[in-house]
Parts: sequence; structure tokens; C-alpha cells
Amino acid sequence: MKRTELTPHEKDQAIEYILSKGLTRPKSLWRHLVDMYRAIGLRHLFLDTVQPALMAAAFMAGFVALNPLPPEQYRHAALFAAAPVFFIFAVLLTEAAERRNGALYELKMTCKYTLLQITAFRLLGFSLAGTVLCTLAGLSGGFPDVHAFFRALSLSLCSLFLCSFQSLFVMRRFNRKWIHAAPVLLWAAIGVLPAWLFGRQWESFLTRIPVAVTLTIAAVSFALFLRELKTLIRMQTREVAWHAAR
Amino acid sequence: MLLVDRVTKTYGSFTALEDITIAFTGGVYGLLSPNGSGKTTLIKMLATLLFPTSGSILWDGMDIGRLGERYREIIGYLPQHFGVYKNQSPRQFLHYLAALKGMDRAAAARKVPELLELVSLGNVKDVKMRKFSGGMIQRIGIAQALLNDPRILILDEPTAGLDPKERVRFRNLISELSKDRIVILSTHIVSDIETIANRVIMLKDRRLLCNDSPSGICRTLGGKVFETREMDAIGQPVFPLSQRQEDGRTVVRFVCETGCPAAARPVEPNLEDVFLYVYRDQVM
Repeated sequence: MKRTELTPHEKDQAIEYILSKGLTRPKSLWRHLVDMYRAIGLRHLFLDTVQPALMAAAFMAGFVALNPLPPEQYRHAALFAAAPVFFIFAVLLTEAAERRNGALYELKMTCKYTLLQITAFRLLGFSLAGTVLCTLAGLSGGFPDVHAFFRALSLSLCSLFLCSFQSLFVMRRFNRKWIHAAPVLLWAAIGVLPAWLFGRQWESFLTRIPVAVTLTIAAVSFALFLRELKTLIRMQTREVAWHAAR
Repeated sequence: MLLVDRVTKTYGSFTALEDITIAFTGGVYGLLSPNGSGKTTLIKMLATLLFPTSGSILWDGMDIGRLGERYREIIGYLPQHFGVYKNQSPRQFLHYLAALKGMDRAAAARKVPELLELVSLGNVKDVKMRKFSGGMIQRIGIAQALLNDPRILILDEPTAGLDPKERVRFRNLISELSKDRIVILSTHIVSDIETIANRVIMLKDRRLLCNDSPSGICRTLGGKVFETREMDAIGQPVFPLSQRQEDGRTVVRFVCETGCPAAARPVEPNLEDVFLYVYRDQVM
């Protein structure tokens, strides 16, 4: 079939576009987030997420309260396991709610600010809320001194950001219908399984890790998480394949 | 110009579209083909929900995937199965989508009531959509597609659920809108596009069958469509198209490739005749 040639005007436009891309500095993550906040507003960015967020908080509270291990002996293991619960379930439940309404999901993917960008904003919000909840959990843990509290807090942040980064990494790379359930498996593998398999040894291991190490892991994981968020926000060619294949 | 340039789309070993080239310049383009022929795949690619396996889609010479939000800013899209937040009112819902489309609040505040009036939902603009009929929801869908005054309007089965009066209003609206933009209308309902489409695009076996004006497409069956009240008297091989009752007798409309049968009279072919004949192995 004969190839349709571009008109001179279209060629000029294409050249102009290439030049403009070459001369424009890409937006930073912070700039993206500020622009979205200004254009969309918090109310619309977090539309339909109150119920999932409350349920996720309830899951976290329930997990801490119903933990079968004696809290005084497994304090660090319990905090390490509980830290990402809010984030993981908030992501799972909000994404499930979005995908339940497939046609609206599709429509939002065709808007200037796509659901991917909104999800990135929400993930940052959920991770910050998770940090607050980790701090509250640490404060209510009854640690004898400030040093013990900071050790526990750094451990729980390490767990939270490790899970956050890995969840986003998997969700961004694999475009499958149920990929948003993968973080739950990651959480089970990182937070729950070791405590269940190794018991006291796991608690003892967590207690002995230097604070500097846990803080470094938490900081690196958070930085990687932010990098993943930036990539997600800039993603332009994500297919909505599970709806299209209906 | 929106150019679909030698586009092929595959899912594993299944080919949904093969080597499609179409140039959209302005006016109403009717994508007419039976279900399963690839038109929704094409529509989804134009709406950036899917991307070509090979070939490219260009807007003013630039790939729409690379353009990203600059392309999404100029499109309006109505999906085949449109959904809303039922606990919102039409006004709230349109304001929400206006925000996602990057419209500033003042422009949205001006545009939303105007569009709700346009689709005859001004009187229920603050009523929750929980009890809205399918037709009312569809009209919300049409309104949201027009929010950002798009240069490319992509409508997938837009008249589904509309009653005859709404359908006529919709056609008039599309006719009016098409004066200064590209309207791409996907449907398998011939009458939806017969009157308003400037060009009709037909797909068959995942390939482009034709891209022509409605009259040009009808001409492909010129001199081959006939009507008769005495079908039993026709001896030649024919392909029956439709039947209707006239003065208590059945009039059969058919295609005959071998000249006018004695008991029949030639008639002007219409788009429905072409549709039924071209897709005779897929419809009826």
C-alpha cells in the first residue's frame, strides 16, 4: 500500500516538536506532583479512596491486635510485619475499586492526567500515611527508651519502603489484570513468612541489626520508590490490555 | 491530520488489525463493520489505550504515543461501555473529569452547565446518577467527551441506549460539531452514520476494506440491487437483503450480480444494502 506523505506544514510541526523536546528540561517528580495538585486538587486526586484507606487502616490495626505471637517477645518482628500493611492494602483496595469500573478506568486513561499519574500521587500519599502509622505503632509499642524507639521506627520504615518500592516495581513492569494483588504476596514473603518460619531467631536477628543499616536500607528504598513514581508518572504508552481483550 | 500509518495490532498469535492506513483530515468518519472486525481495537489505539504492534499513528506528523498528554489534551473519548460514579451528580462528575482533562476551574464552571443543557440534563444536574436510565448515562458520556472542546472526537457505539428522538438529536449535534474537527464514530448501526458521515470506513477480515464517501460506497452496488414481489419467479442466483410489507404483500430486496431479473425492478442501493452484502458471511 502507498505510504501517505506528510504535508510541509506537518513536517514543520514535527521539526518544531523535536526541537522543543530537545530544549525543554524534563519536569521533576516534585514539579509533576505540584502541577497535579494544582490542576486536579486533593479531593479529586483521592476520590473514592476514603473507604479503601479506612479499610486498610483497620487491617493494620487488626493485624497488630490479633497477632498470635506474644508482643513482649516478638515486638520487632510484629512491627516489621505490620509496617507495610496499610500501604499494601490501600493500594490493593483502591486499584481494585478503580478496575471494577472498567469503562471509567479506560476513560481516565485517555485524560490529560491519566490514572497512572493519579495512582503515583496516591501511592506517595499512602506511603506518607504509612510512615505516620508506623510512628504511632512505634510510640504505642512501649519501648523503654528513645534509642529503642528509633531502632523500632527505623526497622518499620525499612519494611514499609522496601515493600513500597518492590510493589511499585512489580506493578509498573508487569501489565497484568491482577498485578495489583502482587504486593500482598511480597508483604507475606518479606514480613510474615520469616517470622512464621524462624520465630525467635527472626526476632533476635531484627533486634541485632544496627540502626544505621536499617536507616540506610529505608532511605535507599525510599529513593528507589520515588524513582519508580517518577517513571510511572512519565509513562505514556501503558496499554489497558485486559479491557481491550474482552 | 491524524494519520494511521500501516498499523498492525497483534495479541500473541492473534492478529486484530493488519496493515491499516487511514488519513483523517476533518468531518465525520463512520467506522462501520460487524462486531469483532477490529473497529474497537482501532478506536482504542486512536484513544491511546492500545498501541500498534507495527506502524504508527501520527497527529500532525508526530507519534501520538510520544506526544502523550499533548495528544490526550485534544481528544474527547466516549468508550463503548460508559460508566459513572453513581453516587455523584452529573455536575460533580463532569467537574471531576474536567479536572482530569486539565481544564482550569473557571473554564469548567462555564462549560459544564452548557453541556448539560446541550444533552438535555440541565434539569437533573444536581441529582445523584443512581437512578439514571441507560440513555441518560450515555448522554453524560457524550457531554464529557465534549468537555475540553476536542479537536478529535472518538465515539465508540455512541447511540447505544438512546431512544429515537435522542438519536436524531445526537446526529444533529455531531453534524454541527464536525465542522471544525475530526469526529470518528464507530458503530454497526448503519442509520447512525448514513446521514452524517462524510466518509465511511469499512473493515473486513482485520483489513481495511474501503474508505469512501457514503455515495461512493453505495455506487459499488450500482445496478445490482432489485426489489420484487414475486421472489419465486426469480430464476437467477441472488442474495436476499431485506423484506418489507407493502399493500399486504411481501417485497423482497436482493442483490443480483447477473443483470436485472424479469420479475424485479432496479432500485438505488443504500449503505445498509452494501453492509449486508459485504458482510454476508458475518451477519444475517
